[in-house]
Amino acid sequence: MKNILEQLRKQMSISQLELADAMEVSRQTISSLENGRYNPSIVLAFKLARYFDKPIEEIFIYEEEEYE
Amino acid sequence: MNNEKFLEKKMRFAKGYIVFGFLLIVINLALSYWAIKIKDFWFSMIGIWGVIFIAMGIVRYFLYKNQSILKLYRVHENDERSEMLRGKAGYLTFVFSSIALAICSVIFVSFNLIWPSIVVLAILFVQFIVFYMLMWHYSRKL
Repeated sequence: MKNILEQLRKQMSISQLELADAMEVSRQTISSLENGRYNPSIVLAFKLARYFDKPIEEIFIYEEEEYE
Repeated sequence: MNNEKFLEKKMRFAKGYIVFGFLLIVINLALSYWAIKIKDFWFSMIGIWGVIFIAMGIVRYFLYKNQSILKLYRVHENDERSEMLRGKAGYLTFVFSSIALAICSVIFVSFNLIWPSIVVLAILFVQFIVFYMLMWHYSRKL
């Protein structure tokens, strides 16, 4: 699953640590999400969507062939 | 889990440490009062562990009172990626310790040490039982 988290974060001019603080997760989790190494739980995805005021599917792009 | 609930949970742990430490010291004093014969080594061990538990409880109590440290603990404990990593690492550790215990029991048998081998096999068996009991317990929750 791809995402535009890094782009959104940079648009808001906030650091990974600040985003991690707001989401109550570790900075490493934000880094892994941005690199696409880790897919978030639905709760974290909703929290991120609300934080950036965007729909989930706009932030996280599901690619079917990855899971086939 | 909000900050207050998390603090409450952590404080219960800290108080538990202190109570357990006092319990060990009381056991130590009771054993000496009734002059129950155990080796001096165990007297000092029980007392020392009592003091260690009390000290750990007090240190934790004051650490959790600090809001920034409490937040670090909360993030580390509730971070979903850390939980997943702990789960994966924990399962691999379980597999590793099972294999290590099985190898130990074979070594003991080959040296004709029957009782140590039985103890190791019993630990291995208990470990599997605990693992499946916890799996059952958490499967009801999730």
